[in-house]
Amino acid sequence: MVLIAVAWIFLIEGHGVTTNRGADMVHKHGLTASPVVVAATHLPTGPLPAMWAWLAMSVAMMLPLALPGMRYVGLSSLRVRRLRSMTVFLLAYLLGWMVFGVVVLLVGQVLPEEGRGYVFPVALLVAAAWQLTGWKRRALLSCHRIRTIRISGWRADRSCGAFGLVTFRRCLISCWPLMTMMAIVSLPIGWMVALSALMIAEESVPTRRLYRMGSALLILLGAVWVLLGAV
Amino acid sequence: MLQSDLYRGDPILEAIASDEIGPDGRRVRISRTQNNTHDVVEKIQTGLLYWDSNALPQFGPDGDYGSETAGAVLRFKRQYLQEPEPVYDDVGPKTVNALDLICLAQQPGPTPPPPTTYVRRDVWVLQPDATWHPHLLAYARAVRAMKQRDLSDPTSWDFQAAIHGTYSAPPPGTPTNSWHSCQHGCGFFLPWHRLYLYYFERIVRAEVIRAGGPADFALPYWNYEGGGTTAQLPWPFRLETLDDGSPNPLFVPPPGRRNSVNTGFPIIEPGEPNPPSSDIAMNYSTFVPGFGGWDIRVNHDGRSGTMYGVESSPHNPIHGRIGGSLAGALMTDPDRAALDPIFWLHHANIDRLWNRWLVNHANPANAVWGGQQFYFHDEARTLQTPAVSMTNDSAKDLGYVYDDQTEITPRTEMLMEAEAQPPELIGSTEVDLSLLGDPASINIEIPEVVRADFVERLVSASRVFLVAEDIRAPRNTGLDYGLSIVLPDMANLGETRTYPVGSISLFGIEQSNNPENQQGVPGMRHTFDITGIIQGLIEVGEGLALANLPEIEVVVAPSGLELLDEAERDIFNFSNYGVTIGQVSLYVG
Repeated sequence: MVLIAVAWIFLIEGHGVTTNRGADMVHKHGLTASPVVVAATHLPTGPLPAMWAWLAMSVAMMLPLALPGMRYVGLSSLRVRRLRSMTVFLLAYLLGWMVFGVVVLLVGQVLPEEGRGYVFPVALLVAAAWQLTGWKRRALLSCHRIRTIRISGWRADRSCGAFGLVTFRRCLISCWPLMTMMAIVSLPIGWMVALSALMIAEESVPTRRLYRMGSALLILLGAVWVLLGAV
Repeated sequence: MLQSDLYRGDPILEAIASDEIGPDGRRVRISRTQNNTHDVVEKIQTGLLYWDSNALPQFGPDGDYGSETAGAVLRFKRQYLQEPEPVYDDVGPKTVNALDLICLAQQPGPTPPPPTTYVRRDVWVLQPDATWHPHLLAYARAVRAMKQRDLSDPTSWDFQAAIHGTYSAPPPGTPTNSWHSCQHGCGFFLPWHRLYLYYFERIVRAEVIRAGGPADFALPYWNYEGGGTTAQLPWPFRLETLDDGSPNPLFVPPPGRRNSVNTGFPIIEPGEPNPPSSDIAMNYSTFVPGFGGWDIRVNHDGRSGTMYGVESSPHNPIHGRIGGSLAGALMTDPDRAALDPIFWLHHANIDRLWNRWLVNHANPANAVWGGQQFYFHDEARTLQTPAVSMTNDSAKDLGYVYDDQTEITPRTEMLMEAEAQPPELIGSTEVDLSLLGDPASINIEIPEVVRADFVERLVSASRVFLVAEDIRAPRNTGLDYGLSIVLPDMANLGETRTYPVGSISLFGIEQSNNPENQQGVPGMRHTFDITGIIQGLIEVGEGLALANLPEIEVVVAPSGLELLDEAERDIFNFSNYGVTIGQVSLYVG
């Protein structure tokens, strides 16, 4: 929880986070690059600050989704290696997101500047549609699945790491449109909070059609709002 | 004399109910040509609407005995009264009397008198041989009648079974909470099934009475732990015909039920090392974690929970032993189990065990437990939403007792707050255990870092658990797997002994495998309390021997092999079944 709080503080005070009028700025002032892309392309130190920023975003937004898994790993481990087991799980989980971030960063590099302004609303539309797919539903269902955790030696580390990677994969399938968007586009902090809350809530509520339709509608309304702001 | 406020005293209805002859020389009836616009028609229409709210969709209770009302009466006679053809669309004595009872059930008013206390009896006492007992014959005939009702009818056999579990979609208009909703792997297992049986029994009893059977009908129970022949399937379920030579609806041929069971092979063999047994559950002092399950949580598919208490044994293994492993087996699969008429007697026995446990123990007083509501239809097809608190006293709240029931003063007590720390892991197996046809063993590793204070932890622990988890199989094999641990022998110091811990049944494994289910923990989890074994060893001074154990051997052995039918042996290539236990762990709490 401390890590998550630190990450949010970093995001709020850190690179290129816009105000609540960010969507407007995105369109009118052509500020279309995310902190990641800005840092990567404009800072003299190169990609490292970009990856720090992406790591902060992953910790802030995606780590909460892995907390139940981390708790399970802790309870399934011997007391003496509980911290190590949870750390291995966490590192594997975040490693997955870092690799994803590198891939998206590279993709973002080849996007023309003038096109980046459309990434935000298009990604929201894709995310809204994704909410209603069977893949999303099955990914949400699998979020509650666990794996056997071994208790000692290399088997224990392997099982914790494997569970971390599997958890990342499930989260990726569930949330890839929103996370792709956030890697490329600079979002106001309010949007980031709202989208984080949506992702946490949909893991907690039953995966019934009504809830998924409701969340899809919310995201769709967000896309419309952004587009209207652009008109 | 008619009983409901609506019908009682109405001269036409009373005359019909008594089958009187009117001044015109004809029997008094309501039909298209007789009493067809009298205000009594509206009363008949009201009764029909109580039976089926969609009975008169176009004109409603308009007081006119037209084609719509006549058609509804025709349907009522065929579906509810089960009248043989030819059926006529007039209202006669049977129709009036039946509708009168339906109206009686609906009428508000002063608190009705306490229900008659029904007595559920041991089926082996009721019918010890092939001679049909009136109650069992009545049950058979009621099952037959229910099987003839449409799925859309909540009192039909298929609908009642589907409340527990089903692969079918519900009929339009069915509340989802009353469909495919059994509770397993949680503390609501017992109260949900108590209410399920209660409403089922009412439906059966209504049919029994309608057909002229014993008015004191109550569901029998099957006590398969009663010794002697009681482990055999009771006679009413083995006979292929009723006393009149017609097919027996209580008989289920293979693959629905094992042939060995149908022919009287005992489902529990004397001397089995790890038989399905209520002994362990009856010794738990608390409801949860204990006799009633592990925790209080609404849980249909039972995968994120753990099997514990009386559900773990004898409930689960008995299901598999009766049903078997062939495709189409009923009792083996939670989504088909209630289609086998023996299901209800099995659960009546589990319910009876609950009453026996309550003689010296208490149900939870927690509002979360008592306030939970579930959904069932009664004999009038009305949806009811009873709360779990209604299940505390079967005599006072639900009007039934068991024939072996010692006086109970049901009481409740608050569950302890959840422990500040959940049970702590102190040892575990490191690889999967694959089960084929023979006993297999695996070792629980006790790491060096734990061994140093292993005994101290055991001594200070209030409970010690053995947990078998990540249990995987493509289907239920119809066998159960006895779990034992090898520890120092309390009676012969220096020797080791194999202590039976309990048995693992695969009942519900299909739901565990279904990725569409929420909270899909892969595999199943079974938890066993071994506190007594460990404390016994410590008391006789074997603590040091325990401390020096680098590992604890766990033995798993398939049970119930003798029940396998020939068809099962032919296809039962154990390697095809792939039963695997992912992990066996030791926890202290």
